[in-house]
Amino acid sequence: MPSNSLQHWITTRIPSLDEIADAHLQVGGGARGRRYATQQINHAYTMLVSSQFQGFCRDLHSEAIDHIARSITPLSLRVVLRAEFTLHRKLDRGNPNPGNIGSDYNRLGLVFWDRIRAHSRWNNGRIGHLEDLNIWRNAIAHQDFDLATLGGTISLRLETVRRWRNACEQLALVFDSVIGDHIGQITGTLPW
Amino acid sequence: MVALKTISVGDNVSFTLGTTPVQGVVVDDRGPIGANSVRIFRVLIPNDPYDEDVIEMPEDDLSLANNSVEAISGDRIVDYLEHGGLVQILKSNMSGGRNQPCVWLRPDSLGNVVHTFVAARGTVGGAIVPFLALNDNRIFTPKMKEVLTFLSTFGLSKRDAERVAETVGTAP
Repeated sequence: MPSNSLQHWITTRIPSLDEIADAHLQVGGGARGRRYATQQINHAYTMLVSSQFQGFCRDLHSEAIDHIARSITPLSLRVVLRAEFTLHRKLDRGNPNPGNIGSDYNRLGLVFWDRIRAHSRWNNGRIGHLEDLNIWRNAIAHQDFDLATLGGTISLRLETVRRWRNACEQLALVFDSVIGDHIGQITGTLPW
Repeated sequence: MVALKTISVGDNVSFTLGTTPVQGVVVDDRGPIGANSVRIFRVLIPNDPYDEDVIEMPEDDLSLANNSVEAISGDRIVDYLEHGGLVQILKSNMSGGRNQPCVWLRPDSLGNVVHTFVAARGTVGGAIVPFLALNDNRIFTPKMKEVLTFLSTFGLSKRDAERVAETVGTAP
């Protein structure tokens, strides 16, 4: 049984990404060779992948807090704990880059990225894709395309966005598993 | 049978923070992502006169709160303004310009008086804070008349307003 957050990611967030992928096909066709309009859709697609993944990460963080808080007695400490975990949460304001995600999830009592990397050797590459996704997100949001930061190109290909999306989809599964196990370890009850 | 009203964005809610009863406003419905699919809400907690805090709370820990605002007695207003309140308020408008602050008084979570810059939370007041009316943490004498008028917007009598001003003191 996955977390509520992962179910929401699968049933709502991923279909919304499919819609923009469909829009890309309708504007640019399936053939190789990009047009200006598809470049703009790639930018929009990038923003949506990043924002939907941010939403998932925040949902999972909130769900984890709820499970941890409910395991605490006395009851009066629960709200104090919730406040501590959610005040100034980076995922409420910042991009879902590895630094922000790690900073928020580490507060739950684990070295988050170490656990993610230990889960599968493929995850290191996925973390790299997540970094690239958010560098591009910033570039698009601020319309500041710096060749050096963007790896020598200011042209964004659909294949690249698909690769980032795939990395996010895989990481979502891993996050769900790692956080579920962690909560099970610290509370004595598997949350999902 | 009367259906219980469910909590939604914009509702005033109450809960206990540690041992303190707190009221806040629901600003976001995060959906049924909590344990056993309980709804999680983001709740804005006033931290007047400073910026609000927002924390997440599950629906089952929240109660709907009524919107009635407790009136504040004149004595408590005078006491607050004499003991640092007026100086703090006047400090908030030392630069003037556009969007000068308006200020209200309200009871805090423990029933003590505090000032707020948010109209929705204010009980009394609402006037623009006099510009540059403070000098060395005392009322700048050329602004005294303006400050007395401002104090009257909190419902103080002329005599009470002058008492507050006298306690805070003046500077040339």
